[in-house]
Amino acid sequence: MSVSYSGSRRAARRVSWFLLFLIGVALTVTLYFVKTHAQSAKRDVRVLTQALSAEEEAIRVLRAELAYLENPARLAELNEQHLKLKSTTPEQERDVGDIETSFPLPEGEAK
Amino acid sequence: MTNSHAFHNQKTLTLADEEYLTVTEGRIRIRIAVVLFVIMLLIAIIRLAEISVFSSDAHQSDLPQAIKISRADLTDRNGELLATTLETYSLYAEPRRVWNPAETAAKLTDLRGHLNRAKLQNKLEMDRSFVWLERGLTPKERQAVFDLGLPGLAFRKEPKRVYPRENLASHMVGFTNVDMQGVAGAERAFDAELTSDNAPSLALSLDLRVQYALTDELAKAREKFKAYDANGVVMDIRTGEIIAMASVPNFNPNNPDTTSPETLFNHAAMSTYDLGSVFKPLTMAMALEDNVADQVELFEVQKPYKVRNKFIRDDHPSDGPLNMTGVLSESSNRGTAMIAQRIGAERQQHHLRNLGLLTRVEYELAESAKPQVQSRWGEMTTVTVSYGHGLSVSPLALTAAIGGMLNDGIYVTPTVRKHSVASPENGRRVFRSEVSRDMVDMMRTVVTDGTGRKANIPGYGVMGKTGTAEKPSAQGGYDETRLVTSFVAAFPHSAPRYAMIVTLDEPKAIEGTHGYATAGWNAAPTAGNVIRRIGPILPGARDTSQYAQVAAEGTP
Repeated sequence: MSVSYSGSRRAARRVSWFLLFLIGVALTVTLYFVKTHAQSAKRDVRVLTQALSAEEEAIRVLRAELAYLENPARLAELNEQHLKLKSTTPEQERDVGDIETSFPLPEGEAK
Repeated sequence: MTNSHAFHNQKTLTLADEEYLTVTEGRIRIRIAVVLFVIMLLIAIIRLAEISVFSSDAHQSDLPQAIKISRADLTDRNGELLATTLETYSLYAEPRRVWNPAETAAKLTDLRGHLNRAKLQNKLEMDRSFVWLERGLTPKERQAVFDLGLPGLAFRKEPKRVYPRENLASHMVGFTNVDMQGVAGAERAFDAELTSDNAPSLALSLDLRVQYALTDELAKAREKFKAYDANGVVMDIRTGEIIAMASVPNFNPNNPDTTSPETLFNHAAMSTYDLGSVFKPLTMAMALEDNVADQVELFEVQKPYKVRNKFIRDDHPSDGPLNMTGVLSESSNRGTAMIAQRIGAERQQHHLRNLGLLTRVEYELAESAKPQVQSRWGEMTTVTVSYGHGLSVSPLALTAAIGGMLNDGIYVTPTVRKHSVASPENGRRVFRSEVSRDMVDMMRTVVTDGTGRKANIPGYGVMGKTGTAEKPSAQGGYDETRLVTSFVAAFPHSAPRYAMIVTLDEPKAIEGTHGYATAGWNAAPTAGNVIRRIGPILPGARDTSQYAQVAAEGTP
């Protein structure tokens, strides 16, 4: 009796070790795939970040070009060549209170 | 022998159990296969475990890098770009890999004309593994060099500071060196802030439109009156914000090395001048503050006046006595001297110190000159300083002082940083409110009836004061032929908000100025031209006193 008991216990222990071994292998393999997936996701993020960075750099270049093109001295020169517009002078400005005296209503019209 | 023979003749019969042998051999093979399999499996598991658990550092480079701008942008108060950082390409050589230094230098200089062929060849012949050839190339320039197909040349991406507005506001914005460290202007003042991690863009107080109008008018005036240089400041006296500050000639901060050193100098903040009669309003305010004079009393300015055996001279002598307003609008040195003597040296210095005229302007930029103060402050110094001689200050310092006088008597330290509202901690009371109101009216009279009439722009209630000072002579004393002319102005009269100054260094008399080179003929009209252009742009610049009066009368 005692021989058969110790034999089944050893067998149970073997099965346990085998199961643990299988679980270990399964976990290791799962971890490997998870990490591989995470790494590929990180790689995607890095590619996107680089693309974003390139776009931002392009935007900065465009902003700088726009600022250069909008230089007041350059615009004034272009205006002089093509449009000949003049700045508003103080004499052309009116306050709201000035309207009545500057532009009086024709006589007879109700105020 | 027989036994031995018999022994030798014995035969052993071994029956071969073929099945047993086959099974035994099979078992051995299976065991070997199992052992090999287990070894392989263990290797695989160990490797998996190593990759999965212990190799996290091996892929550190796969981690996304945060987008880092090495230096934040500078903008004006309305968000207009003043300085930004772009990626450029720097050309370097690995001399040991250059096949033919002479040919390489020749081809490069043909393309990049400004490079020196001999120096370049010398660099390429060095026994070194790395040498810079040119930094800060644009993508197009890089491609052109690349297309030459020269071995041993390569590029490195580097950030470069770019100033798209070129000369405009160059003194305020400043510039960086090749290593992107701020060395002048706001670039230097805010270096740490601009280079901190993911720093947002920094808004300066200046308004690019006002800056352009000021710079343009100063350049025109400098050319018209043949002055050595011209400078000016426009300041919001409530917040202390410098809306514009210009010095002509100026420079292009994209190439600061190629400009002459004189153009790098911001005369508005770094030069000190005896500014002349623009000091007189301050003297009047000191007298009113100390109750040593009032606006009713008449001063006998028509008679010769002597201090310490020296006659005080008036350029436009009055026929009769003048009150304080008359002394200011006629710019009488004699009347101002009389008032200054009542104030006294001690109180005068106290007021000047309060107005920030005895120390450098404590604003963010390093470009701020210390005033030149006489070591001995006797009675004669008190008198001459009262009308702007014997104390040299920067135009910026005087603008801030006049602004403090007109801002209800509260001096606000100038700043180049944008502020949305006035911050009380930056201000200090220098004169009583009543004194400030009196000075507002007196300075308005200078423009309507006095020497500053050419700056009287309708609608903006301009207040001001002219100042013409002779420059010190090399032989001692003053040189009558070398003048510094200034016009300090403020507007609007109804609610003073902006103070400004225009200073011309050695302007000449021209046709139309009747032989005069004084401030009323050059600095005042220049300031008027500036106000004419910036008035419609600036909020709160329009004078509303007429309507304020109507509203007050209409109020029950």
